[in-house]
Amino acid sequence: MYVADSNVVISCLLSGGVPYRVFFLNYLLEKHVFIAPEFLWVEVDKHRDELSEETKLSPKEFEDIITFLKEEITVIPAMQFLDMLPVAKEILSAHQKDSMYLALALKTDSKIMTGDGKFRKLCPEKIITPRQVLDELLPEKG
Amino acid sequence: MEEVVLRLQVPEDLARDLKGISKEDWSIFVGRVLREKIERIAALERSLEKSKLSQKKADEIADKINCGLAEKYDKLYKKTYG
Repeated sequence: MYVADSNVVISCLLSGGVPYRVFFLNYLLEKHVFIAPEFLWVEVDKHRDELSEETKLSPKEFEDIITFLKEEITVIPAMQFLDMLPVAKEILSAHQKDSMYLALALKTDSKIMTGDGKFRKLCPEKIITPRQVLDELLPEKG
Repeated sequence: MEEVVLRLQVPEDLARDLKGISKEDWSIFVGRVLREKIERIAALERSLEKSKLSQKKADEIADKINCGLAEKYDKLYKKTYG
């Protein structure tokens, strides 16, 4: 099980990026479960117009991708991991805006899939990059 | 067409019910499910190839989302635990 952060979710809208390949492959292989903190999609929706404008995709294309991602990422209610927020904040010190992801990862004993370099530096043992997850999904090279 | 043999593990109860299904029907069913999934992915990939979103802009928006989310969680924590 991996926690998906907004960095990974928004990067799925990039052309040729690794994150969307992770979700596409996992959709076929069903090897991993991806989770995210409650309200992630509420916040993404607040930037829907800006994202849609930047991608230049048609409303239907944009909607199809967001719908797919919402299906692939299970939202975990805040009350299930909120108690871990102070612990996460202490670990992240100067990078507290990511504390809800770490709180969720600590509570569920999982890693956070992110491409955020700062996040990786602060708690490397709890981070996995999209590339690493992709390598897990792809068949071993003989 | 190339033949591929798939092995599935299913619960015993389900296996009993499924035994009556012919090899041909299995082949049609599995083929359809796989095709639907692959076609959906292919359509999404075709759309994404056209995306003009830059990494810089994606990072900026992700950052704004995180700030909004963090604020929400701070408020919720204070409300819940005082």
